[in-house]
Amino acid sequence: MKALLHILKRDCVQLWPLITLTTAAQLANFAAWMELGHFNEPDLLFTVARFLPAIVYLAIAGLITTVIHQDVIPGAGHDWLIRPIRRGDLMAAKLAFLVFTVHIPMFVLDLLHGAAIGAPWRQSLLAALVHNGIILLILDLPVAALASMTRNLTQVITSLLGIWLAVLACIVTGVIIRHGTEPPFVSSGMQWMTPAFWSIVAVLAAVAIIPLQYFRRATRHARAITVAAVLVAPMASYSTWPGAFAVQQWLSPDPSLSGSVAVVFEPGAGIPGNTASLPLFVRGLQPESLLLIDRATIHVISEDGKVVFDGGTTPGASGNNQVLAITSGESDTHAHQRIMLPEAAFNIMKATPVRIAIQYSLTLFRLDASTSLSAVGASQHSRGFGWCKTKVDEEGDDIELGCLRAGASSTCASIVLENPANGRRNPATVRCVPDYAPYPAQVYPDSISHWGGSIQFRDVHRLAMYPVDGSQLSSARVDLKSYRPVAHFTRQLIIPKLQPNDWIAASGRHQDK
Amino acid sequence: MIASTHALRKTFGRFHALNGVDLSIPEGSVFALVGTNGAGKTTTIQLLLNMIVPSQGNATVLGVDSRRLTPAEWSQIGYVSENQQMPPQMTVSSYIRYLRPFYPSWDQSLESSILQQLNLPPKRKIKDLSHGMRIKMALACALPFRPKLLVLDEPFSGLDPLVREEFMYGLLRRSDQTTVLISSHELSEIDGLATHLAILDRGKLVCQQTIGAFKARVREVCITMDTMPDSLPAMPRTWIEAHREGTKLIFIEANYSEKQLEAQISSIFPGVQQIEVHEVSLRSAVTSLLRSARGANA
Repeated sequence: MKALLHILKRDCVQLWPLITLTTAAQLANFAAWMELGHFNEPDLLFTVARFLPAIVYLAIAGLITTVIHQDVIPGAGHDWLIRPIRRGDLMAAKLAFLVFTVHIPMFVLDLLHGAAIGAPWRQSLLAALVHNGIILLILDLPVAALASMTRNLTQVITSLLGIWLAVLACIVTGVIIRHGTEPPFVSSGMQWMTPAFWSIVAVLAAVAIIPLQYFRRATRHARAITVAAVLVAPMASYSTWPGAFAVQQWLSPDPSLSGSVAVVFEPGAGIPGNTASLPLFVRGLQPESLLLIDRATIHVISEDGKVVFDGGTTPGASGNNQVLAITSGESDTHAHQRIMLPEAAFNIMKATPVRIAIQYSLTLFRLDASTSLSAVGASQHSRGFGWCKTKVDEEGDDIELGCLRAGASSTCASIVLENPANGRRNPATVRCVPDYAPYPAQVYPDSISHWGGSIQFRDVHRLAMYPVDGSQLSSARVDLKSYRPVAHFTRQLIIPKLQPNDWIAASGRHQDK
Repeated sequence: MIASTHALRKTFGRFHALNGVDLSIPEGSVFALVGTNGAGKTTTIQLLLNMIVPSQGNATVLGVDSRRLTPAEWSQIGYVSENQQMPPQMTVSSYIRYLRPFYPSWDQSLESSILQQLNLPPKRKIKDLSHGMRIKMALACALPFRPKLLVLDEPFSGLDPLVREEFMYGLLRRSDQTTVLISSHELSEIDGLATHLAILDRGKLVCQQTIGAFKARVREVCITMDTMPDSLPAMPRTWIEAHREGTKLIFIEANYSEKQLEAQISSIFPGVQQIEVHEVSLRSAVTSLLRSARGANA
């Protein structure tokens, strides 16, 4: 312990300018995001602040590299090798240095930021721990491992370049194998899997390399581990949708909730003028649920057995296309499956009966938190959303909503503008950028998440009128509901014989586009 | 023995840096490890001090396998090398201050006197020290804890004569109870300092003995004859660098024994008038022996 503290003290004294620089970067990041507040204003500061986390992480990486290189491991000429210094003390001193110079300031700033936004101390503490833990695992340890295999900054940069090129080559190979398409789950709620897999590989490699280097100085073996990790890490992009979704199903927080959910065809319930919309009925949902399509593979076969359409939808992260159903007080609801068809397939389906088989990968969300706040000038704390504020934007057509919360914020939420005085409600806006990660990750820009959106109440072109318009804003309220994923499951919908009149063909297909 | 190696081998790829070396370094000795550049001196030292891993064989230092040296042993070992890489950003005084607590036997008054004698600038950063100053710095970091074993790897390389003198003076004055292992190809520098000698050549141990026995073993012999034969007869392999000067034949006897030499000369050159035997410098002795070894190998 005495030796550990002695080495730690030496490193701190030697590297105080870098420590100061790294802490200053963290302080600047903290101050900038504090100043930006709920609505990320002013714009210039927001533009600068977006780069600050990257600068912080770069400074941390530089500091870690430098402290490890104070006692270089590869090579035979380094003075510490012939000194009565326990390898364990040296390694522990370096890790203590990380905690002392990087994570204590980060932790304190996270707590301060949490306190500044009025977050409960437990929530702030948890968010700070998660933020620090993730940075330690996915940044500090891999950088320390790389530094332990190199002699100087040039070697580190060269190694990073080599690693980047190797990973890029593997990813490009994957894209070529998939004929130019991106990995199947890249834009879905399962996109956490790729960085998580990379991080796990990096952490495992780092955890193997660091002791190997400090206790055995086996640089050749350590470099072999690095090469293996670099080759294994991009393998996540080679996985298939069923495989990845099976993992996600296994990770479902409450899979039993999906047991009663059924998606059935509802002939005749099509919406006129929207030919690509297949009328469905979803039953077995509990009240206050949201059902999201992660992927739907659609097979359309003609009566004579010819494949009319064989494709699917992997909804992008933008828009609400993937929300199949949302319930409030009811448990069953109508829904529509949009199908984008080629011209030829569209013409066949208009004229003749077809068989349709849809394989759904679905995620069931349950209500996590709800709150209601004044449409204008609100400043309110709530459990699920943190500290939220509202205001009318500069154009005067939207209500801007901004929420600051210690830890990760909800990735799926519905926002409704309503006027309790007359009971009018504007259509709900569902903001869903699903993320099914089984851990509450919040690292950008720090442990405080910034969440919000805008709710339109006036059409500047006067083409649409809203039930709750600008004249009612003083008494209007914004209803917020956030949802959390509880179950991931698959369902198959088979329509043995879809008659042309089961859906109403018009010019809607082009409108859908 | 304070340190020893057994069948020590080290290969770097296909290159055999050391090929089965057996060394025994007696306690209290000043043991000189000599050889040409690339002979394997530094590799031997690095293996002894666990800086690199042997391909085969083992080394023992202070009774412990060199692969298992602990801080208890390291606190009794001093090391000075021309290639020693000390933290470049630290100043002379801050690095010495940093090292002090690691050595239970660190003598601060000895440290002060060494620093004074070596005239090291305490506030200068190590990276700003000259080569000679760095060697002095390494010495200043290796002596204050009175090491039981002091290992000096090519300490004289690149040092100017004045610094060498200071170095030798500093070393000799302070190594009374210390075993010194010194590697060098500067033979004149270790003459008068070493008590034992081991010669390495191309990764192999050529000889290993006390300096007295080694010096006694090598002599320059000058034979004066009535007439010098046109062609020299076959001579023993231990007679090396033989050449003629008029009626004289001069050579180095690499394994000198007075009686044996006289008998050999009488049998090969019956008409010898005079035999003169001279001591040779350590440099001549070592270089002759190396040539002899290489001749035998060739």
